[in-house]
Amino acid sequence: MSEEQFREQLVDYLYGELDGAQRAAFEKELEAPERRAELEAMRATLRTARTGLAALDEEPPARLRGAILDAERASRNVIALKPWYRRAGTITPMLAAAAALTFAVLAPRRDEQPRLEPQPRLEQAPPPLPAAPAVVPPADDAPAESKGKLEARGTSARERHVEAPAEKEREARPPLRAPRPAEARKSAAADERADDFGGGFAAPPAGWGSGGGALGRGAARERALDKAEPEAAEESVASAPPPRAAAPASPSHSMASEQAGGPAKRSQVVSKPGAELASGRDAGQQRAPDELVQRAREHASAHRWSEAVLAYRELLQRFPKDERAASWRSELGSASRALTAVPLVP
Amino acid sequence: MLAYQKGDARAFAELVARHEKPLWNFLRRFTSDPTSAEDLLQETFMRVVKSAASYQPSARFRTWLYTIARNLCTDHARGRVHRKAQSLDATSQRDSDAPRMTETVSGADPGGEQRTLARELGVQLERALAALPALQREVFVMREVLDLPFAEIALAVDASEATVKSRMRYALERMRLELAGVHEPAVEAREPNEVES
Repeated sequence: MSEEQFREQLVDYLYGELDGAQRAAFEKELEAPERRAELEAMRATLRTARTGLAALDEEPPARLRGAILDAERASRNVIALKPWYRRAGTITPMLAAAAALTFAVLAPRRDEQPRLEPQPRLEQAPPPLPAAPAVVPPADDAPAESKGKLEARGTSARERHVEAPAEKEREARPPLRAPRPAEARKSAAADERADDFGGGFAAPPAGWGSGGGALGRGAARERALDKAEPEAAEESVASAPPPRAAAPASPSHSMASEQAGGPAKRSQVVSKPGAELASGRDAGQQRAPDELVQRAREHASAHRWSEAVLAYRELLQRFPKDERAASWRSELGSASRALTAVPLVP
Repeated sequence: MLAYQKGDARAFAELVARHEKPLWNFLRRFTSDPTSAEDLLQETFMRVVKSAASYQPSARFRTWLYTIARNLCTDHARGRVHRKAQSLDATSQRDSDAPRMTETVSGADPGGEQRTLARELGVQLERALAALPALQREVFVMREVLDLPFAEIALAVDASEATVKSRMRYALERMRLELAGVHEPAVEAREPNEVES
Protein backbone atom coordinates (compact mmCIF):
# COMPACT_ATOMS: atom_id res chain seq x y z
CA MET A 1 0.00 0.00 0.00
CA SER A 2 1.46 3.35 -1.02
CA GLU A 3 1.72 6.28 1.35
CA GLU A 4 -1.07 8.08 -0.48
CA GLN A 5 -3.38 5.05 -0.30
CA PHE A 6 -2.60 4.68 3.38
CA ARG A 7 -3.51 8.33 4.04
CA GLU A 8 -6.69 8.00 2.02
CA GLN A 9 -7.83 5.05 4.08
CA LEU A 10 -6.75 6.51 7.39
CA VAL A 11 -9.95 8.49 7.85
CA ASP A 12 -12.06 5.52 6.84
CA TYR A 13 -10.25 3.38 9.38
CA LEU A 14 -10.57 5.98 12.13
CA TYR A 15 -14.31 6.22 11.55
CA GLY A 16 -14.79 2.48 11.03
CA GLU A 17 -15.87 2.77 7.43
CA LEU A 18 -13.67 0.02 6.00
CA ASP A 19 -15.17 -3.35 5.24
CA GLY A 20 -13.59 -6.52 6.56
CA ALA A 21 -11.04 -7.12 3.79
CA GLN A 22 -10.01 -3.47 3.57
CA ARG A 23 -9.69 -3.29 7.33
CA ALA A 24 -7.49 -6.35 7.44
CA ALA A 25 -5.28 -4.95 4.69
CA PHE A 26 -5.00 -1.64 6.47
CA GLU A 27 -4.14 -3.21 9.83
CA LYS A 28 -1.41 -5.16 8.11
CA GLU A 29 0.11 -1.86 7.07
CA LEU A 30 0.05 -0.74 10.68
CA GLU A 31 2.77 -3.23 11.49
CA ALA A 32 5.15 -0.63 10.16
CA PRO A 33 6.07 1.57 13.17
CA GLU A 34 5.93 4.91 11.31
CA ARG A 35 2.41 4.13 10.06
CA ARG A 36 1.37 3.00 13.48
CA ALA A 37 2.74 6.28 14.90
CA GLU A 38 0.84 8.27 12.35
CA LEU A 39 -2.39 6.52 13.21
CA GLU A 40 -1.83 7.10 16.92
CA ALA A 41 -1.11 10.76 16.33
CA MET A 42 -4.37 11.13 14.43
CA ARG A 43 -6.26 9.29 17.12
CA ALA A 44 -4.80 11.57 19.78
CA THR A 45 -5.71 14.65 17.75
CA LEU A 46 -9.24 13.45 17.32
CA ARG A 47 -9.54 12.60 21.01
CA THR A 48 -8.27 16.03 22.02
CA ALA A 49 -10.61 17.73 19.59
CA ARG A 50 -13.57 15.82 20.94
CA THR A 51 -12.67 16.73 24.47
CA GLY A 52 -12.49 20.37 23.48
CA LEU A 53 -15.76 20.20 21.61
CA ALA A 54 -17.42 18.61 24.62
CA ALA A 55 -16.16 21.52 26.73
CA LEU A 56 -17.53 24.00 24.24
CA ASP A 57 -20.90 22.30 23.95
CA GLU A 58 -23.56 24.77 24.96
CA GLU A 59 -27.28 25.39 24.89
CA PRO A 60 -28.56 28.13 22.62
CA PRO A 61 -29.87 31.24 24.36
CA ALA A 62 -33.34 30.57 25.69
CA ARG A 63 -34.86 33.67 24.11
CA LEU A 64 -33.88 32.47 20.65
CA ARG A 65 -36.48 29.75 20.54
CA GLY A 66 -39.22 32.22 21.41
CA ALA A 67 -38.01 34.63 18.77
CA ILE A 68 -37.91 31.89 16.14
CA LEU A 69 -41.40 30.68 16.98
CA ASP A 70 -42.72 34.25 17.01
CA ALA A 71 -41.20 34.92 13.63
CA GLU A 72 -42.65 31.70 12.27
CA ARG A 73 -46.09 32.64 13.57
CA ALA A 74 -45.85 36.05 12.00
CA SER A 75 -44.66 34.73 8.66
CA ARG A 76 -47.42 32.13 8.68
CA ASN A 77 -49.96 34.93 8.91
CA VAL A 78 -48.28 36.79 6.12
CA ILE A 79 -48.02 33.76 3.87
CA ALA A 80 -51.69 33.02 4.44
CA LEU A 81 -52.57 36.36 2.96
CA LYS A 82 -53.48 36.71 -0.66
CA PRO A 83 -51.03 38.20 -3.12
CA TRP A 84 -50.81 41.95 -2.72
CA TYR A 85 -52.72 42.70 -5.88
CA ARG A 86 -55.67 40.69 -4.70
CA ARG A 87 -55.92 42.18 -1.27
CA ALA A 88 -58.91 44.45 -0.91
CA GLY A 89 -57.19 46.44 1.78
CA THR A 90 -54.33 47.20 -0.56
CA ILE A 91 -56.08 47.70 -3.83
CA THR A 92 -58.70 50.14 -2.58
CA PRO A 93 -56.34 52.85 -1.37
CA MET A 94 -54.16 52.26 -4.41
CA LEU A 95 -57.11 52.78 -6.72
CA ALA A 96 -58.14 55.84 -4.77
CA ALA A 97 -54.65 57.25 -5.05
CA ALA A 98 -54.50 56.46 -8.75
CA ALA A 99 -57.87 58.11 -9.29
CA ALA A 100 -56.80 61.17 -7.34
CA LEU A 101 -53.58 61.38 -9.29
CA THR A 102 -55.35 60.99 -12.61
CA PHE A 103 -57.80 63.64 -11.60
CA ALA A 104 -55.05 65.99 -10.48
CA VAL A 105 -53.30 65.55 -13.82
CA LEU A 106 -56.40 65.93 -15.92
CA ALA A 107 -58.03 68.69 -13.89
CA PRO A 108 -56.30 71.65 -15.56
CA ARG A 109 -57.24 70.36 -19.00
CA ARG A 110 -60.79 70.08 -17.94
CA ASP A 111 -60.70 73.67 -16.81
CA GLU A 112 -59.48 74.74 -20.20
CA GLN A 113 -62.52 73.28 -21.88
CA PRO A 114 -65.39 75.67 -22.39
CA ARG A 115 -67.85 75.19 -19.62
CA LEU A 116 -71.48 75.04 -20.37
CA GLU A 117 -73.47 77.79 -18.85
CA PRO A 118 -76.04 76.68 -16.38
CA GLN A 119 -79.38 76.36 -18.00
CA PRO A 120 -81.86 78.91 -16.90
CA ARG A 121 -84.38 77.93 -14.37
CA LEU A 122 -87.97 78.67 -14.37
CA GLU A 123 -87.76 82.39 -13.95
CA GLN A 124 -85.17 82.89 -16.70
CA ALA A 125 -85.87 82.94 -20.34
CA PRO A 126 -83.72 80.66 -22.45
CA PRO A 127 -80.96 82.39 -24.28
CA PRO A 128 -81.44 82.56 -27.97
CA LEU A 129 -80.09 79.59 -29.78
CA PRO A 130 -76.92 80.22 -31.68
CA ALA A 131 -77.58 80.96 -35.22
CA ALA A 132 -77.12 77.88 -37.26
CA PRO A 133 -74.78 78.26 -40.15
CA ALA A 134 -76.77 78.96 -43.17
CA VAL A 135 -76.79 76.14 -45.58
CA VAL A 136 -77.30 77.17 -49.04
CA PRO A 137 -79.23 74.53 -50.83
CA PRO A 138 -77.63 73.52 -53.99
CA ALA A 139 -78.82 75.43 -56.86
CA ASP A 140 -80.86 73.69 -59.36
CA ASP A 141 -78.08 74.08 -61.78
CA ALA A 142 -75.54 72.59 -59.46
CA PRO A 143 -74.06 69.28 -60.42
CA ALA A 144 -76.29 66.38 -59.56
CA GLU A 145 -73.40 64.72 -57.81
CA SER A 146 -73.22 67.32 -55.07
CA LYS A 147 -76.98 67.23 -54.67
CA GLY A 148 -76.96 63.52 -54.24
CA LYS A 149 -74.26 63.81 -51.65
CA LEU A 150 -76.26 66.21 -49.63
CA GLU A 151 -79.31 64.01 -49.80
CA ALA A 152 -77.43 60.93 -48.93
CA ARG A 153 -75.94 62.55 -45.85
CA GLY A 154 -77.80 63.74 -42.86
CA THR A 155 -77.77 60.65 -40.70
CA SER A 156 -75.51 62.15 -38.08
CA ALA A 157 -76.83 64.61 -35.55
CA ARG A 158 -74.36 67.25 -36.59
CA GLU A 159 -75.33 67.10 -40.18
CA ARG A 160 -78.99 67.08 -39.35
CA HIS A 161 -78.36 70.17 -37.31
CA VAL A 162 -76.57 71.80 -40.17
CA GLU A 163 -79.31 71.02 -42.57
CA ALA A 164 -82.09 72.16 -40.32
CA PRO A 165 -82.62 75.86 -40.43
CA ALA A 166 -82.51 77.63 -37.08
CA GLU A 167 -86.11 78.73 -37.43
CA LYS A 168 -87.28 75.16 -37.89
CA GLU A 169 -85.44 74.09 -34.80
CA ARG A 170 -86.98 76.79 -32.74
CA GLU A 171 -90.41 75.78 -33.95
CA ALA A 172 -89.78 72.18 -33.01
CA ARG A 173 -89.10 73.09 -29.36
CA PRO A 174 -92.02 73.30 -26.98
CA PRO A 175 -92.86 76.89 -26.30
CA LEU A 176 -91.51 78.25 -23.05
CA ARG A 177 -94.08 79.60 -20.80
CA ALA A 178 -94.24 80.92 -17.30
CA PRO A 179 -94.98 78.11 -14.87
CA ARG A 180 -98.28 77.93 -13.25
CA PRO A 181 -98.16 78.27 -9.43
CA ALA A 182 -99.09 74.59 -8.94
CA GLU A 183 -96.35 73.44 -11.28
CA ALA A 184 -93.84 75.65 -9.53
CA ARG A 185 -94.73 74.08 -6.20
CA LYS A 186 -94.43 70.60 -7.71
CA SER A 187 -91.04 71.43 -9.13
CA ALA A 188 -89.77 72.80 -5.83
CA ALA A 189 -91.02 69.72 -4.01
CA ALA A 190 -89.29 67.51 -6.55
CA ASP A 191 -86.09 69.41 -5.97
CA GLU A 192 -86.37 68.87 -2.26
CA ARG A 193 -86.99 65.16 -2.69
CA ALA A 194 -84.01 64.94 -4.93
CA ASP A 195 -81.90 66.63 -2.28
CA ASP A 196 -83.14 64.23 0.36
CA PHE A 197 -81.78 61.35 -1.67
CA GLY A 198 -78.52 63.00 -2.47
CA GLY A 199 -79.63 64.14 -5.84
CA GLY A 200 -81.59 61.03 -6.77
CA PHE A 201 -82.57 60.85 -10.38
CA ALA A 202 -83.02 64.55 -10.72
CA ALA A 203 -79.69 65.14 -12.28
CA PRO A 204 -78.53 68.70 -12.05
CA PRO A 205 -77.85 70.52 -15.23
CA ALA A 206 -74.56 70.07 -16.93
CA GLY A 207 -71.81 72.15 -15.45
CA TRP A 208 -73.12 71.84 -11.90
CA GLY A 209 -71.31 68.73 -10.99
CA SER A 210 -72.32 65.18 -11.57
CA GLY A 211 -75.68 63.95 -10.49
CA GLY A 212 -76.77 61.15 -8.22
CA GLY A 213 -74.67 60.10 -5.29
CA ALA A 214 -71.61 61.70 -6.76
CA LEU A 215 -73.13 65.11 -6.53
CA GLY A 216 -71.28 65.99 -3.37
CA ARG A 217 -67.97 64.84 -4.65
CA GLY A 218 -68.64 66.48 -7.98
CA ALA A 219 -69.42 69.76 -6.34
CA ALA A 220 -66.37 69.54 -4.13
CA ARG A 221 -64.26 68.74 -7.15
CA GLU A 222 -65.66 71.72 -8.97
CA ARG A 223 -64.88 73.98 -6.08
CA ALA A 224 -61.40 72.64 -5.95
CA LEU A 225 -61.03 73.17 -9.65
CA ASP A 226 -62.12 76.73 -9.21
CA LYS A 227 -59.11 77.14 -7.01
CA ALA A 228 -57.03 75.98 -9.94
CA GLU A 229 -54.75 74.09 -7.59
CA PRO A 230 -54.33 70.41 -8.30
CA GLU A 231 -53.39 69.75 -4.71
CA ALA A 232 -56.55 71.31 -3.46
CA ALA A 233 -58.50 69.30 -5.96
CA GLU A 234 -56.84 66.13 -4.77
CA GLU A 235 -57.52 67.01 -1.19
CA SER A 236 -61.12 67.73 -1.74
CA VAL A 237 -61.59 64.53 -3.68
CA ALA A 238 -59.76 62.43 -1.17
CA SER A 239 -61.51 63.96 1.77
CA ALA A 240 -64.94 64.44 0.32
CA PRO A 241 -67.38 63.41 2.99
CA PRO A 242 -70.29 61.15 2.17
CA PRO A 243 -72.50 62.62 -0.50
CA ARG A 244 -75.45 63.42 1.69
CA ALA A 245 -73.40 65.35 4.19
CA ALA A 246 -71.40 67.38 1.75
CA ALA A 247 -73.78 67.79 -1.12
CA PRO A 248 -75.12 71.23 -1.53
CA ALA A 249 -78.80 71.45 -0.75
CA SER A 250 -79.58 71.83 -4.39
CA PRO A 251 -77.99 73.30 -7.43
CA SER A 252 -79.81 76.49 -6.78
CA HIS A 253 -78.55 76.52 -3.22
CA SER A 254 -75.08 75.99 -4.48
CA MET A 255 -75.39 78.81 -6.94
CA ALA A 256 -76.80 81.02 -4.24
CA SER A 257 -73.94 80.24 -1.93
CA GLU A 258 -71.45 80.92 -4.66
CA GLN A 259 -73.09 84.18 -5.40
CA ALA A 260 -73.23 85.13 -1.76
CA GLY A 261 -69.87 83.96 -0.53
CA GLY A 262 -67.75 84.08 -3.61
CA PRO A 263 -64.25 82.67 -3.67
CA ALA A 264 -63.64 83.31 0.03
CA LYS A 265 -66.58 81.16 0.95
CA ARG A 266 -65.44 78.45 -1.43
CA SER A 267 -61.99 78.31 0.06
CA GLN A 268 -63.56 77.82 3.46
CA VAL A 269 -65.51 74.90 2.18
CA VAL A 270 -62.34 73.34 0.79
CA SER A 271 -60.18 74.06 3.79
CA LYS A 272 -62.37 72.15 6.21
CA PRO A 273 -61.84 68.70 4.65
CA GLY A 274 -58.20 69.69 4.22
CA ALA A 275 -57.86 70.10 7.96
CA GLU A 276 -59.47 66.72 8.47
CA LEU A 277 -56.96 65.23 6.07
CA ALA A 278 -54.09 66.78 7.97
CA SER A 279 -55.31 65.26 11.19
CA GLY A 280 -55.65 61.96 9.34
CA ARG A 281 -52.02 62.22 8.30
CA ASP A 282 -51.00 62.70 11.91
CA ALA A 283 -52.93 59.64 12.83
CA GLY A 284 -51.18 57.76 10.05
CA GLN A 285 -47.80 58.76 11.39
CA GLN A 286 -48.72 57.34 14.75
CA ARG A 287 -49.57 53.95 13.40
CA ALA A 288 -49.16 51.06 15.72
CA PRO A 289 -45.91 49.11 15.39
CA ASP A 290 -47.89 46.00 14.45
CA GLU A 291 -48.82 47.53 11.15
CA LEU A 292 -45.21 48.32 10.37
CA VAL A 293 -44.10 44.91 11.53
CA GLN A 294 -46.63 43.30 9.25
CA ARG A 295 -45.52 45.45 6.36
CA ALA A 296 -41.88 44.62 6.96
CA ARG A 297 -42.62 40.93 7.19
CA GLU A 298 -44.72 41.02 4.08
CA HIS A 299 -41.78 42.52 2.25
CA ALA A 300 -39.47 39.94 3.73
CA SER A 301 -41.73 37.03 2.87
CA ALA A 302 -41.99 38.30 -0.68
CA HIS A 303 -38.19 38.56 -0.76
CA ARG A 304 -38.35 42.30 -1.27
CA TRP A 305 -35.34 42.63 0.95
CA SER A 306 -34.55 46.29 0.43
CA GLU A 307 -38.11 47.29 1.31
CA ALA A 308 -38.04 44.97 4.28
CA VAL A 309 -34.79 46.49 5.51
CA LEU A 310 -36.22 50.00 5.18
CA ALA A 311 -39.39 48.98 6.96
CA TYR A 312 -37.51 47.37 9.83
CA ARG A 313 -35.26 50.39 10.15
CA GLU A 314 -38.25 52.67 10.29
CA LEU A 315 -39.80 50.42 12.88
CA LEU A 316 -36.71 50.45 15.05
CA GLN A 317 -36.32 54.19 14.69
CA ARG A 318 -39.87 54.83 15.74
CA PHE A 319 -40.25 52.20 18.39
CA PRO A 320 -36.74 51.58 19.68
CA LYS A 321 -37.93 50.73 23.17
CA ASP A 322 -40.58 48.26 22.20
CA GLU A 323 -40.15 44.93 23.90
CA ARG A 324 -40.00 43.21 20.50
CA ALA A 325 -37.23 45.49 19.27
CA ALA A 326 -34.62 42.77 19.73
CA SER A 327 -36.60 40.43 17.52
CA TRP A 328 -37.03 43.15 14.91
CA ARG A 329 -33.33 43.85 15.01
CA SER A 330 -32.67 40.24 14.37
CA GLU A 331 -35.14 40.17 11.49
CA LEU A 332 -33.52 43.30 10.14
CA GLY A 333 -30.19 41.52 10.25
CA SER A 334 -31.65 38.59 8.39
CA ALA A 335 -33.18 40.81 5.76
CA SER A 336 -29.91 42.73 5.40
CA ARG A 337 -28.01 39.56 4.89
CA ALA A 338 -30.54 38.26 2.46
CA LEU A 339 -30.18 41.46 0.53
CA THR A 340 -26.58 40.67 -0.20
CA ALA A 341 -26.76 36.91 -0.01
CA VAL A 342 -26.23 34.52 -2.83
CA PRO A 343 -29.51 32.68 -3.57
CA LEU A 344 -29.84 29.54 -1.53
CA VAL A 345 -29.62 26.25 -3.34
CA PRO A 346 -30.15 23.65 -0.65
CA MET B 1 -41.31 18.46 8.51
CA LEU B 2 -44.05 16.81 6.50
CA ALA B 3 -46.48 17.50 9.32
CA TYR B 4 -45.45 21.12 9.34
CA GLN B 5 -45.77 21.24 5.59
CA LYS B 6 -49.36 20.11 6.01
CA GLY B 7 -50.01 23.00 8.35
CA ASP B 8 -49.31 21.55 11.79
CA ALA B 9 -47.81 24.53 13.56
CA ARG B 10 -46.74 22.45 16.56
CA ALA B 11 -44.54 20.39 14.30
CA PHE B 12 -42.36 23.41 13.73
CA ALA B 13 -41.90 23.90 17.46
CA GLU B 14 -40.91 20.25 17.64
CA LEU B 15 -38.39 20.69 14.83
CA VAL B 16 -36.87 23.67 16.58
CA ALA B 17 -36.66 21.82 19.88
CA ARG B 18 -34.99 18.84 18.23
CA HIS B 19 -32.44 20.59 16.06
CA GLU B 20 -31.83 23.85 17.85
CA LYS B 21 -28.95 22.72 20.03
CA PRO B 22 -26.83 20.83 17.48
CA LEU B 23 -27.44 23.57 14.98
CA TRP B 24 -26.42 26.19 17.52
CA ASN B 25 -23.19 24.38 18.30
CA PHE B 26 -22.49 23.92 14.62
CA LEU B 27 -22.99 27.63 14.00
CA ARG B 28 -20.96 28.61 17.04
CA ARG B 29 -18.05 26.46 15.94
CA PHE B 30 -18.35 27.68 12.40
CA THR B 31 -18.65 31.40 13.01
CA SER B 32 -16.91 31.87 16.38
CA ASP B 33 -19.23 34.83 16.94
CA PRO B 34 -22.28 34.40 19.18
CA THR B 35 -24.20 37.32 17.66
CA SER B 36 -23.73 36.02 14.16
CA ALA B 37 -24.63 32.53 15.34
CA GLU B 38 -27.88 33.84 16.78
CA ASP B 39 -28.75 35.58 13.54
CA LEU B 40 -27.83 32.55 11.49
CA LEU B 41 -29.83 30.20 13.67
CA GLN B 42 -32.94 32.32 13.28
CA GLU B 43 -32.34 32.76 9.61
CA THR B 44 -31.90 29.03 9.11
CA PHE B 45 -35.27 28.28 10.66
CA MET B 46 -36.87 31.12 8.75
CA ARG B 47 -35.58 29.60 5.54
CA VAL B 48 -37.18 26.36 6.60
CA VAL B 49 -40.46 28.21 7.07
CA LYS B 50 -40.23 29.91 3.71
CA SER B 51 -39.23 26.75 1.88
CA ALA B 52 -41.71 24.51 3.66
CA ALA B 53 -44.18 24.58 0.78
CA SER B 54 -41.56 23.44 -1.72
CA TYR B 55 -39.83 20.95 0.58
CA GLN B 56 -39.27 17.57 -1.05
CA PRO B 57 -38.34 14.73 1.28
CA SER B 58 -35.59 13.50 -1.06
CA ALA B 59 -33.04 13.48 1.75
CA ARG B 60 -33.18 13.44 5.52
CA PHE B 61 -34.56 16.59 7.01
CA ARG B 62 -31.47 17.22 9.08
CA THR B 63 -29.31 17.05 5.96
CA TRP B 64 -31.52 19.63 4.33
CA LEU B 65 -31.51 21.77 7.45
CA TYR B 66 -27.73 21.68 7.81
CA THR B 67 -27.34 22.42 4.13
CA ILE B 68 -29.32 25.59 4.64
CA ALA B 69 -27.23 26.45 7.69
CA ARG B 70 -24.00 25.70 5.89
CA ASN B 71 -24.96 27.88 2.92
CA LEU B 72 -25.87 30.72 5.22
CA CYS B 73 -22.56 30.32 7.01
CA THR B 74 -20.72 30.43 3.72
CA ASP B 75 -22.57 33.56 2.68
CA HIS B 76 -21.94 35.07 6.05
CA ALA B 77 -18.23 34.31 5.89
CA ARG B 78 -18.09 35.75 2.39
CA GLY B 79 -19.82 38.90 3.61
CA ARG B 80 -17.35 39.21 6.44
CA VAL B 81 -14.45 38.97 4.05
CA HIS B 82 -15.94 41.68 1.86
CA ARG B 83 -16.78 43.95 4.75
CA LYS B 84 -13.42 43.33 6.39
CA ALA B 85 -15.25 43.07 9.64
CA GLN B 86 -13.97 41.12 12.61
CA SER B 87 -11.18 38.86 11.54
CA LEU B 88 -10.57 35.48 12.96
CA ASP B 89 -7.49 36.90 14.67
CA ALA B 90 -9.66 39.47 16.36
CA THR B 91 -11.72 36.68 17.82
CA SER B 92 -8.62 35.05 19.13
CA GLN B 93 -7.45 38.36 20.47
CA ARG B 94 -10.73 38.84 22.25
CA ASP B 95 -10.44 35.42 23.79
CA SER B 96 -6.91 36.07 24.93
CA ASP B 97 -8.01 39.30 26.59
CA ALA B 98 -10.85 37.61 28.39
CA PRO B 99 -10.23 36.50 31.93
CA ARG B 100 -8.96 32.97 32.15
CA MET B 101 -11.15 30.36 33.69
CA THR B 102 -8.44 29.81 36.28
CA GLU B 103 -9.09 33.32 37.50
CA THR B 104 -12.80 32.91 37.82
CA VAL B 105 -13.37 29.35 38.99
CA SER B 106 -13.36 28.83 42.70
CA GLY B 107 -10.55 26.62 43.94
CA ALA B 108 -12.89 25.04 46.46
CA ASP B 109 -14.70 23.20 43.69
CA PRO B 110 -13.13 19.75 43.41
CA GLY B 111 -13.98 19.44 39.69
CA GLY B 112 -13.05 23.02 38.99
CA GLU B 113 -9.52 22.38 37.83
CA GLN B 114 -10.64 19.68 35.46
CA ARG B 115 -13.30 21.94 34.01
CA THR B 116 -10.87 24.77 33.71
CA LEU B 117 -8.51 22.61 31.71
CA ALA B 118 -11.35 21.45 29.53
CA ARG B 119 -12.44 25.02 28.98
CA GLU B 120 -8.93 26.07 28.03
CA LEU B 121 -8.77 23.17 25.69
CA GLY B 122 -12.03 24.43 24.20
CA VAL B 123 -10.47 27.83 23.61
CA GLN B 124 -7.48 26.19 21.94
CA LEU B 125 -9.80 24.16 19.81
CA GLU B 126 -11.73 27.24 18.74
CA ARG B 127 -8.49 28.78 17.58
CA ALA B 128 -7.52 25.63 15.76
CA LEU B 129 -10.90 25.53 14.07
CA ALA B 130 -10.64 29.16 13.11
CA ALA B 131 -7.30 28.43 11.49
CA LEU B 132 -8.83 25.77 9.24
CA PRO B 133 -9.89 26.65 5.72
CA ALA B 134 -13.66 26.96 5.56
CA LEU B 135 -14.14 23.87 3.41
CA GLN B 136 -12.21 21.73 5.86
CA ARG B 137 -13.79 23.36 8.88
CA GLU B 138 -17.32 22.70 7.71
CA VAL B 139 -16.57 19.04 7.10
CA PHE B 140 -14.86 18.66 10.46
CA VAL B 141 -17.67 20.40 12.36
CA MET B 142 -20.39 18.50 10.54
CA ARG B 143 -18.72 15.24 11.33
CA GLU B 144 -17.66 15.94 14.90
CA VAL B 145 -20.35 18.32 16.13
CA LEU B 146 -23.38 17.21 14.15
CA ASP B 147 -22.25 13.59 13.95
CA LEU B 148 -23.26 13.37 10.31
CA PRO B 149 -22.00 10.43 8.25
CA PHE B 150 -19.69 11.33 5.39
CA ALA B 151 -22.37 10.49 2.86
CA GLU B 152 -24.71 13.09 4.32
CA ILE B 153 -21.93 15.64 4.57
CA ALA B 154 -21.23 15.06 0.90
CA LEU B 155 -24.85 15.89 0.13
CA ALA B 156 -24.80 18.97 2.32
CA VAL B 157 -21.64 20.45 0.85
CA ASP B 158 -22.41 19.26 -2.65
CA ALA B 159 -19.20 17.28 -3.09
CA SER B 160 -18.31 13.65 -3.52
CA GLU B 161 -17.83 11.46 -0.49
CA ALA B 162 -14.17 10.94 -1.40
CA THR B 163 -13.65 14.67 -1.50
CA VAL B 164 -15.27 15.04 1.87
CA LYS B 165 -13.04 12.38 3.37
CA SER B 166 -10.04 14.02 1.82
CA ARG B 167 -11.02 17.36 3.39
CA MET B 168 -11.48 15.62 6.70
CA ARG B 169 -8.01 14.16 6.48
CA TYR B 170 -6.47 17.55 5.73
CA ALA B 171 -8.47 19.04 8.56
CA LEU B 172 -7.17 16.44 10.98
CA GLU B 173 -3.60 16.97 9.85
CA ARG B 174 -3.98 20.72 10.33
CA MET B 175 -5.62 20.23 13.72
CA ARG B 176 -2.79 17.97 14.72
CA LEU B 177 -0.37 20.81 14.10
CA GLU B 178 -2.57 23.39 15.79
CA LEU B 179 -3.21 21.29 18.85
CA ALA B 180 0.34 20.03 19.21
CA GLY B 181 1.47 20.39 22.77
CA VAL B 182 -2.01 21.05 24.12
CA HIS B 183 -2.45 19.27 27.40
CA GLU B 184 -5.44 17.02 27.25
CA PRO B 185 -7.35 16.71 30.48
CA ALA B 186 -8.52 13.35 31.59
CA VAL B 187 -11.98 13.69 30.17
CA GLU B 188 -13.77 10.73 28.72
CA ALA B 189 -13.67 10.91 24.99
CA ARG B 190 -14.77 8.40 22.43
CA GLU B 191 -12.12 6.32 20.84
CA PRO B 192 -11.98 7.42 17.21
CA ASN B 193 -12.32 3.97 15.77
CA GLU B 194 -15.20 3.14 18.07
CA VAL B 195 -17.48 5.72 16.50
CA GLU B 196 -19.22 3.58 14.01
CA SER B 197 -18.43 0.15 15.32
